[in-house]
Amino acid sequence: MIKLADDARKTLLTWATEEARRRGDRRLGTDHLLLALLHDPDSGPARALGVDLESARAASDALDRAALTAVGIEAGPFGLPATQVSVRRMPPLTSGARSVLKRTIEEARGARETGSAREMRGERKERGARETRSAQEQETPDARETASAREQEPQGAREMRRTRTRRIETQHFLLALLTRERPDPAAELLAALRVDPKEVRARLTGPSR
Amino acid sequence: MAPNDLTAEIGSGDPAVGLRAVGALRRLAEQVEASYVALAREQGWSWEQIGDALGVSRQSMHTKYGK
Repeated sequence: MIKLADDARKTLLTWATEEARRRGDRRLGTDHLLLALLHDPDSGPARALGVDLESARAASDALDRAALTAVGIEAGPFGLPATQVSVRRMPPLTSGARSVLKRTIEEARGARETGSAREMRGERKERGARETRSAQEQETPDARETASAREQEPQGAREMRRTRTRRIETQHFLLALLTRERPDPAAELLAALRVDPKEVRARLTGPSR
Repeated sequence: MAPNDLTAEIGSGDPAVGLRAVGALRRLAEQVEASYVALAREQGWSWEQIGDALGVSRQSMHTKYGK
């Protein structure tokens, strides 16, 4: 089982649970993780994706309706009103969602030599890659700091660190999601939204970040 | 009817579409269920009555929707 120690991860999984419940899914899948990343429209991942939550939900519902029509079933509107959604318990993860979380955790912990990390570095332009790497190097010492060192920091600095860590965490979630290929539900949803994973990856890892 | 006849009958030769449709039916069932369980509770149905109507146990209904 994946540990939910981190705040950002917990928040994201709560939002993903809400999406799974809203749709009536029994398992938490990659598409729910993608929708969860859109809950905070000001977050880096949401801006990099360039779509809003409502459009993404609508696109997901439209995929369902189209599939039903293809097998000869006419369905009305999809999606429950938020008031009827219970988010008390997180549903079990699909195997796709599990591998996305694993990959996210690996990347957030600095296990850089995973397949996706190598692939991403290869695709980056040389300058962008250097800058991103140096940014990551600046941030990795955070995790190695002792508790006493952290206690001596002023409150504001700790808060800033937390915010920065959170942003990196959610970015890694998205980077992990972008490696999914159709027929993975998240990949299907991105395709339906006409979002190009390569462009999103470039926006997330490029020098202008 | 053999399974292959059925896929021909319902019109999509693409497993991605067919499997998506199955998921969508399940989701639709969950959504309709949640709506009507809420309505039944509003109108005073017991968990036992709701469970019986759906062919499941009172306990599972209460666990799923109970506050």
